[in-house]
Amino acid sequence: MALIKQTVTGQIEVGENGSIGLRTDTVVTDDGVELNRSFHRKVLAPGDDVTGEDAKVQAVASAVWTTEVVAAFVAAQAAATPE
Amino acid sequence: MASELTVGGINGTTVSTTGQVRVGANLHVVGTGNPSPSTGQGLEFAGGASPYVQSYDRTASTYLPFSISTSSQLGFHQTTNANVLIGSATAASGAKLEVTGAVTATTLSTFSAGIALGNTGTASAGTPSSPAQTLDWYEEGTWTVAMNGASSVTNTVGYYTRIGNLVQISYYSGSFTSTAVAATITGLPFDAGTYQVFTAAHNTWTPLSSSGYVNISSDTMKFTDTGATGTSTAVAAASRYLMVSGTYRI
Repeated sequence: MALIKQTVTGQIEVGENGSIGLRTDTVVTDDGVELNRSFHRKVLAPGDDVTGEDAKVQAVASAVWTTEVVAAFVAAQAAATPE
Repeated sequence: MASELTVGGINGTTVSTTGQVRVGANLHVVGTGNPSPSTGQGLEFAGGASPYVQSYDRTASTYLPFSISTSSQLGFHQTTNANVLIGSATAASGAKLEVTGAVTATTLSTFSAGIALGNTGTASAGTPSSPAQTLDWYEEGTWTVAMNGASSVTNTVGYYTRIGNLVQISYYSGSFTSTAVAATITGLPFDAGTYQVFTAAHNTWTPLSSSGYVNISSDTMKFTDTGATGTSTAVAAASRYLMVSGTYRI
């Protein structure tokens, strides 16, 4: 019996405004058979520091977060206050 | 040397040299391979490594409907277009598996494309015609809570459950030290789709506020003083506490 606990990038979603939804899965296996999987989530906003993130996440951020996307997100957030 | 045994001619009963049994044109019991002679429409029982029961037209080389039933409305039906019907002999439009009656699953069932509830439109290729009636997401997990200006936070783990496009979050901080900055929390598990309200209790972080809003298109919660839209200011003190929950639409 070899119990292994590891974290993997379970899901990456790109929002309309360029934000990246990231689900990190903690997976417990026993001899390769998955026993449990739990989720942890966060959202990366355009322009966020992705140092230390999964290479796949960095690749998505690099592709999606153009100067225009980041600028549009920053402008939208600055204006986002209910009246 | 074994020889084929036939009783009753071509429509009679034949036992071939390989042990296959053919009763008229309609019942074949074969080991492997095709019945002999390989003609007619009938029910076939096969052995070998991949045994099967099938309804087949040997002359036309096509599968035929197959039913286990006592009438046309009961039992199990395999239709010519590969639909599987349980409890009904007539498939709804586009249905690949139709069960008339209650379904009980004793093991985990997977519906990766979602579950259409009350969907009266025409669905095809797994695409619901009415997404507003389709349950396509359920998820439970944790999120890391980041309170602006807070330090020595006992607990930074919040919990969430997402059902469809609604996300319910909850968090209890335990003791922490705060500074006098804008009372915001970041790290929500999903960006919010619109401005939405959350509430707080056991709150000594922002004494002038017990609620706030989730900011649009962001993962940020902002506390607001009662009757105001501006972001509350947290107190600067040790041994602060916060209990917060809310539901927001993505």
